[in-house]
Amino acid sequence: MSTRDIVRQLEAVRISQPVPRYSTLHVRIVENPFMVAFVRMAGESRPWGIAYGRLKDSAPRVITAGDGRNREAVAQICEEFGVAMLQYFRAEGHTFNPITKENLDTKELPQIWVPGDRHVEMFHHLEYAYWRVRKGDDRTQPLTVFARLSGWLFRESGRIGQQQIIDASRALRDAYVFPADTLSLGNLTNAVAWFKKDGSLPNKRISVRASGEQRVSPTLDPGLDKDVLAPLIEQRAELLKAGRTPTLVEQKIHEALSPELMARWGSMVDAYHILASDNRAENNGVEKLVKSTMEKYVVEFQRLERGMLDPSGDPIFTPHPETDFHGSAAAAGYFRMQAADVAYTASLVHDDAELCAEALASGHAFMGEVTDVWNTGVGRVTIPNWQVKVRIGEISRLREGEDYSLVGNPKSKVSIREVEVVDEEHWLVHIEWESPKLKEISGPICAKPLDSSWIGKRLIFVPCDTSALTAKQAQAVWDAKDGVGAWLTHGRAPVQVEESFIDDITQLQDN
Amino acid sequence: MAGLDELTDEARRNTRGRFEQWVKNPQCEANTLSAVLNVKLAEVALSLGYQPEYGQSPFAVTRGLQFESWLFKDEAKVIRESMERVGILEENSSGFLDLRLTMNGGKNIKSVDDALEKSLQLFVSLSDDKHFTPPTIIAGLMLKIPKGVMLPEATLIIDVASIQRLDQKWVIRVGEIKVFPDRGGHTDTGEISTARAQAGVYQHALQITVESLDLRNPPIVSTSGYLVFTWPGTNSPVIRANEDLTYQARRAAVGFDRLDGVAQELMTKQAQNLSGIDLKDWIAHSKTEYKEICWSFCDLAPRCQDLAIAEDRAIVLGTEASKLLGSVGVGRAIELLDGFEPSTEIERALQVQLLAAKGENST
Repeated sequence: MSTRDIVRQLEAVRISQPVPRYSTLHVRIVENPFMVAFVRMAGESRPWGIAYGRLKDSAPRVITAGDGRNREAVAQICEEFGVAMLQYFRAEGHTFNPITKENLDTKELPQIWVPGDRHVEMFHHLEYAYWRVRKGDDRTQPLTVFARLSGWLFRESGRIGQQQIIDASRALRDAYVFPADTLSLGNLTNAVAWFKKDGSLPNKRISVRASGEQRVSPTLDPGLDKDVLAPLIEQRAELLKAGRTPTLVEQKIHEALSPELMARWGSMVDAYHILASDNRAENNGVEKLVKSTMEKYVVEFQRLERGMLDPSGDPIFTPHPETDFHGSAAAAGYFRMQAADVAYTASLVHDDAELCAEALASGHAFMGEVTDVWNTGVGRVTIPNWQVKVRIGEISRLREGEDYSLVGNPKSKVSIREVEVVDEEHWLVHIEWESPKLKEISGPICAKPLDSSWIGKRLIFVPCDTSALTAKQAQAVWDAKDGVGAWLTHGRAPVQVEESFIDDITQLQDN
Repeated sequence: MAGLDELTDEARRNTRGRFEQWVKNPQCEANTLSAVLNVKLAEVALSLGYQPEYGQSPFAVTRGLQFESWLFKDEAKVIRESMERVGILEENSSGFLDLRLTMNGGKNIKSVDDALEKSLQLFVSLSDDKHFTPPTIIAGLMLKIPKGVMLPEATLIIDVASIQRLDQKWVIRVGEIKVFPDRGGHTDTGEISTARAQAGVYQHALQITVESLDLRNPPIVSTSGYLVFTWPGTNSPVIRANEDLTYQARRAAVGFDRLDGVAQELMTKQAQNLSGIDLKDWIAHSKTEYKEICWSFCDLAPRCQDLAIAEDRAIVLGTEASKLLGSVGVGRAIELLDGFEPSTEIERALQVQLLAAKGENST
């Protein structure tokens, strides 16, 4: 947390309510997203109950297992939920109109909302539970495909800027600064209550805290477990032991779990409406992030699922839920994440004054006054050059050879050629325009880079989007399998893993 | 009224829990007293009219017991296979000593004293009996920490320990069993560090216990231990072997020493006999040091937050804000942000920082 964040917190205290963190919204709020909330039995990893559906459905579908430890009953509810998810995500083999590279439309982004990070983790648990396919098994069974989709969503949740899985609690914390500590905001009901409660700040704090007594995590309140659910589970076990059907008790268990699921669902819907009714516009860069999200979905999930449908039964690479077991896979994954990180800020900073100010404060961007404009091109070639006077206090990371964009012009690119110290307070930065050279750029004026009217203008330069280059490195890692040091970087898994998995990696390497 | 004579077996085995509770906020006097005097914070909160929240679900308790009993079933067959697979034990190892109390799923040990005696016998045999073939796995090894660490009692039960012969010496290695799922690189880092810290406490306690016995040929307490988790959604163990516990054990050593010192100091101050004092009342009226982390373990957290709100302390905005604002209240910080004249050097320095950050807002 920066000093800037603390100043924002003080502003929030001043008005006794959350204040916007940025000038724009950095997430696409889909009109009718898919939503889900889970509950699980303490000590278990799989869900005991699920509430799911579309936001605009009259009510979510609430399904529960009689006993959260009963694998068959749990698999049954997971399968029902899984089929609905596969259809909503237009997964290959589960819809007549799957999302493909050809029909990809950012207006049709499939987006799933969950109440908090523990619910995101549930997708990882679901992957663990159902991903394994033995030789001869049908790998296109809904539960297995759903496990792979769950794994994809869990992995994707860690990629900065992704737009497919929204942790409602985090989305609120990213969009607003609260007059409260971060830890308490991990509970979505707390965060939502800040928008609902009235009164003086001290009273509001107390009432927000009281709202937070309702748990949002999938694990239930130990008191509820002890007083209500444990006796019911015991009754159920006794009935089964006596050879009787426990339908009535299971109904009671369902009735006890439903309000818990609905409370989590309700908080999530509240969070959605807070964000959907926010006056701020969606950042122009979000469209690019949505497109990137959908492209990744097509390449990293749909393409593999299409392969799974192939009747030949050839092995298809399936990511392991635990790790990649392979140096190259890890390196490629690292570069992909790094590219996402670079693309995120570079996409959004041009349309968000607050984010831009943050980049300046952290030294990732710089501000200066244009003092000279000249051309170093020879003959018909034009190479615009600028000299920019920068206050030293405003920068910290500026280096020769680095590329920047003029704020508001995401496609522009300038390169730092030289940095000269003028005095104790100022540097002279020589920049060369790489793109555009002849077209107009926008800022305080609209003019070509060589136009001398830029002189005297104070401008902000932000890091250039170099994500494409970083993403290429991800592929280069695989291509380097015959290069120097390949024995080290392309070694096989140091631990014993399933034979079929090794084969998949080898296959990926050889292709 | 809680008293010193109310020790039960359960309370005696809570030493590790009390230590870990204290470590979370050692600056808080109430927390220290609670750990030293073995009085639950939940009871103190209740006495002040706050509803305690922290308790364990019966399902979680059952799951933990089931997992342990599964690991140690049939002469510890399941855990042995896993330990052999990761190299903690050699293949075809044998011998299992179950020192768990019957109330905790053991078969033969009825009392704490019985467990302590059997544990002591094991150490002596390892030292003195050349023909002794020790068990390779011990469940529930029980230690009485010798230095009188923490009042009123310090007994520790080690989840699992293993014994191996190395260079003519017996080597004991400690393990910590947790039922939470190991999800490889995605495993909750907080859970791993908690488990590692707890194993470090075992390692340190075992070390000082063995040293205090003054044995002729004492076994070596290994500085590396292991963590036993579950494969997600199953009862299959996943063992993280070769966990270096050197620093965790050092942390435990320093922590125990400090806690012991605090305990002695408190007792000296309190000249009267403790049996005449309402311990809950004593804790309830001691100094507290409210932090965000208190919400993760302390039932007094709402009371301390109420006090912080009433005193307009920056901690209500979180740890980072508290670090920046220091002793300056939230309301005063807003005044400084609005350009009010600072009255101290601290306020002046804070105002410079706040205004610089605010100025960046208007770029």
